[in-house]
Amino acid sequence: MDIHNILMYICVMYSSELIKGTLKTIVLNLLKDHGKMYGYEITQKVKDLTKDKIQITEGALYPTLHALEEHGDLTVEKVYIGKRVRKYYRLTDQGMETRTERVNELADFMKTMRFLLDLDVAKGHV
Amino acid sequence: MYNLTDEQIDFINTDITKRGIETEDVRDNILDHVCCIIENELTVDGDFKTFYVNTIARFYTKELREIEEETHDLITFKYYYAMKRTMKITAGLTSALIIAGGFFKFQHWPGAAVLLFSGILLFSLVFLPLNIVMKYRDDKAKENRLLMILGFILVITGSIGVLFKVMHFPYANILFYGSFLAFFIFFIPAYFFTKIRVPENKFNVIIQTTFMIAGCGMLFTLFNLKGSKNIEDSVYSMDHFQQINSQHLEAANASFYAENGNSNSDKVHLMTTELSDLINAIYVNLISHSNGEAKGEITHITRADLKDPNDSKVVQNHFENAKDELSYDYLKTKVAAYNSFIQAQDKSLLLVDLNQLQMTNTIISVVLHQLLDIQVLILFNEQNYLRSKRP
Repeated sequence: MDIHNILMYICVMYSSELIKGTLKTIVLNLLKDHGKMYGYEITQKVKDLTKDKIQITEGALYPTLHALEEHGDLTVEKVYIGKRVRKYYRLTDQGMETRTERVNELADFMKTMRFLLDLDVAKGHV
Repeated sequence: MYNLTDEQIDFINTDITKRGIETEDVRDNILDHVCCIIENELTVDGDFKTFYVNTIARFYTKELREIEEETHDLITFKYYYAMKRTMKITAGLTSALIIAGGFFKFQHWPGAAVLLFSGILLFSLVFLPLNIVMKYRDDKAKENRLLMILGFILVITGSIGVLFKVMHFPYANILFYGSFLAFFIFFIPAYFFTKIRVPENKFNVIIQTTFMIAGCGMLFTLFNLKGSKNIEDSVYSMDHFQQINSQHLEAANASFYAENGNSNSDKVHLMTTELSDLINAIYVNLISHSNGEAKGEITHITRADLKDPNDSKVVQNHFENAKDELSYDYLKTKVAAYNSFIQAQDKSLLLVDLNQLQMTNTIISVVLHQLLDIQVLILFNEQNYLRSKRP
């Protein structure tokens, strides 16, 4: 399941709580599809892919990236651009596994939510 | 596309540092991100300063340092779920170990000490510290955190005190009573006055405080509880009885000896006196060490003077494992010499069979009583010998 499919399901609510819960999954999946990415690139990519519907805030993105790095899901490659350092993130093998787990969990969750909220029957509520 | 100068990059770097981003990794990320936004979104002739101020405001709700704090939180508590799982497992394990240990102890089955020891150790060194970390994460209010840390630390030191007491390790009493007192004097009032201020907690706080005070009160009553006075007196009377017997025998022997002393009874008398003096010396030595008094200060030696009749440490350190002339080993060699001597003198005399007495791994009051028994036996032997040799 790729990021487009995942995002299709949560295209209704955009509250920061909802995004917070899925941010790790989004980041891990993006990195799986695009190899190495840096922070700004990730926010732009998500914005583009979702046609501005999901905008990841910097305040949520960087803590998540650092936590994933600390957990061993991501590795970092530093590239010096003049006076700046750009950090490219890449999935590790463990990160790959985490991504699969996360995506499966979210897919299952969405299935349950669809059932729970009766979304298939009454799409009008959406 | 806007081109940032080195000075502008330095400016941004200094500004975000000033706003509380101290970790280099986080700062690098934010700096690059801000620069990317400016380069991509600011027109070539745009105003850098205004655009920067507006841009950086998008990063936070109140302050920029939120990012750093959030990062720190996520990293610090990366083991949160592992800790939670460990806590659940240790909770079950400690309960099982302590209940099983208590039951084994009650039934006098082997393994009770191991079960209790590991149970209390797990409880005080894994379960309670984990609780501190978890609660610390959950409760953000500073005074609640402090209060909770104080409470848990006191419970930890208190339970380690119990463990030390059971294992006869040093400082058990200080640990246990100290924690108990601090809990009662500092923690309970602090808990009450901090928590009572929140109106919706009022009822619960009153109940919880009452529980704690009642619990402490009952524990305190237990500390001061000693064995029945009647039983204590009857136990002391055994020693008193033997002491009187030995004094009477000694006096009777002295007069027999004065009347009928000869070269053979000289030897028996000397041997008996030597062993009897050794027993007296051990007796005084044990009492003085147990009471922590100098030997000279001990005026009369009765077991009733013991401050702690259940002291087993003094037996271990100053009798069982000692190497001097007041040790168990030395007593054994002296008794062996005595046995072979009296055996040679008269076959009808009674041997002192130390194998029948358990003088090690026990408490001081038992050893003292055993010493008196040995003393009475050798004086009785001496009297028998003197009587049989009476013309």
